[in-house]
Amino acid sequence: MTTARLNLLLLVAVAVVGAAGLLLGETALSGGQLALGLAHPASPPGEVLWAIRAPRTAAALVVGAALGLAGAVMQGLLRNPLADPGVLGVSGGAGLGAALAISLGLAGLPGAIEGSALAAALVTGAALTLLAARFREPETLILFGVALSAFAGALTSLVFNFSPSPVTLAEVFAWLLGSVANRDWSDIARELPALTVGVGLCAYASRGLVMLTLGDETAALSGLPMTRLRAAAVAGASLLTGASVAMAGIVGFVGLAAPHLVRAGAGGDPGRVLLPSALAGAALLAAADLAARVIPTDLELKLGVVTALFGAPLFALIAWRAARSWRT
Amino acid sequence: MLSLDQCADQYVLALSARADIVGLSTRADDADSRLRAEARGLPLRRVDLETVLAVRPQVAVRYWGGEPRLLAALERRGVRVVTIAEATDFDGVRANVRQVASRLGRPAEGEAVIAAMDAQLAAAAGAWGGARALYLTPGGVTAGPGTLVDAILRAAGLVNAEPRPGYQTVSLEALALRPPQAVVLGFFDSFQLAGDSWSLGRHQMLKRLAHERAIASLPGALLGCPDPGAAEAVGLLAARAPRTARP
Repeated sequence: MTTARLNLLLLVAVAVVGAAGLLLGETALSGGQLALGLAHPASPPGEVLWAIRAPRTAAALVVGAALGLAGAVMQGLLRNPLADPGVLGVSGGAGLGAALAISLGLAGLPGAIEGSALAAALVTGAALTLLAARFREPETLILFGVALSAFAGALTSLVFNFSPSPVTLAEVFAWLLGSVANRDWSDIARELPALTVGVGLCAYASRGLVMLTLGDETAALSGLPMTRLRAAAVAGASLLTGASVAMAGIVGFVGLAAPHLVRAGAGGDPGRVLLPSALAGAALLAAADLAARVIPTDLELKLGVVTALFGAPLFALIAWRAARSWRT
Repeated sequence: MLSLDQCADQYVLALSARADIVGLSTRADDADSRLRAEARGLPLRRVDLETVLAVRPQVAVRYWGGEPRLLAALERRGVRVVTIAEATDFDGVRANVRQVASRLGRPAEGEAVIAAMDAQLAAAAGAWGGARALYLTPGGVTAGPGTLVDAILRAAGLVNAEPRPGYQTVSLEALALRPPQAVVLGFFDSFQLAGDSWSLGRHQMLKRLAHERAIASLPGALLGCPDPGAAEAVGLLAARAPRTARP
């Protein structure tokens, strides 16, 4: 399959899941209501479609695309099939940033939580780059990711520990579970600058990723500004992760799964995996959000819970395969 | 007297003499504590066994504060622990006041608090003349029959638009399709304090619904504890009723 064909196929999938995101929800709309809603956005069914379901679906698509892209960039950069913003602790770091901002009472300041999540994601990303530059074994980096995640988790628990009221506690917890329910267009608009810069950096870094597949020495001899490209990749992936966490909390495993789903079709060039990964991430997360909406539980399932339920076994499967290839 | 949580703070502050209070919870002077003005100047203490025993209380009052081991340790050392019961109506609140007042040895103060509360309820009775309203928190929770909130609505002459018993969730979609005629907001003040980032309360559609249909916004300080604050909430609701609705 050519990359163009794969992208087209994934675009169709995104469109189908996106349309389903408008049509399916917690309340079933009749044909008449749907027609009314589509024609008149100000009518009650119109509000359900355009003010509730559309921004929610858009948020799921955007976050899924950002995480898919971030995961693909990290896997390419670190040449590690297990790399993912969640596994490496970048999501955890961003969640800690958000939790800290909330418990310091900064939630009222516009952009404080988002800024804090972004900054914490960038710091975690920078720490990973330093570690990745020193140690080359793919397992080592995963272990550092585990340590970073655990440290972010411990600090987040500390925030819980000192939480002044049950309200703060519940709110921090909601961030950590991850969800795109009740999102507004303004929630998406707020993250667009960070997302745009993140995508730009990843696109810039993509030509370096293919060089890395030939080994560090070859990449260094290629004449490309590898240090700058590496930094751009880490900064871009961290920005995308931070913005995702700011918009939807910690939604794990999408960044891990999306590149794996498309790699067979896109071929070995990590630069070519980026766009299909973003598309696959978008479709995956919007589909997971649909599941969260329509599975008839008393309390709605949180998106982060759904992705973790499916993602964690997948992680184990990929680790199984990767471990076998490292041994040989 | 020692109070082990914010709800117990309200009881201890309302019923005890200031000189008898050896400690309130650390949340007694927070913005969502109803009697925070009275709490000023009194010692706020962390709830742990050493702190608690050091001040040698005779009675410790609690709603949810203190964990079972701490309470058992207190009772072994002769401290009487009074637990405020969950109340789903005003009879429950009266029973709570009587119970705590008698255990604190202040029955007369208890009756005075009940009398003030009953006067407030009598003045507010029927104020809304049977209008229908839905209770709504920023987190999308509403309250049906069998809750203190339901009793508050009825005491102000409102008919609760939520038929399902107990605390229930409502969704944005349901509110958009079947918007209630009137809304009574609860905890929207503490929501603004915390700036809750994700709950349905900050969605554009809900903000509009709250703006257009809300008849009153009850502060969290009147709702978080089964105590006479509930009667204050009824008074606040009644004060918002149009004159024509009064019987």
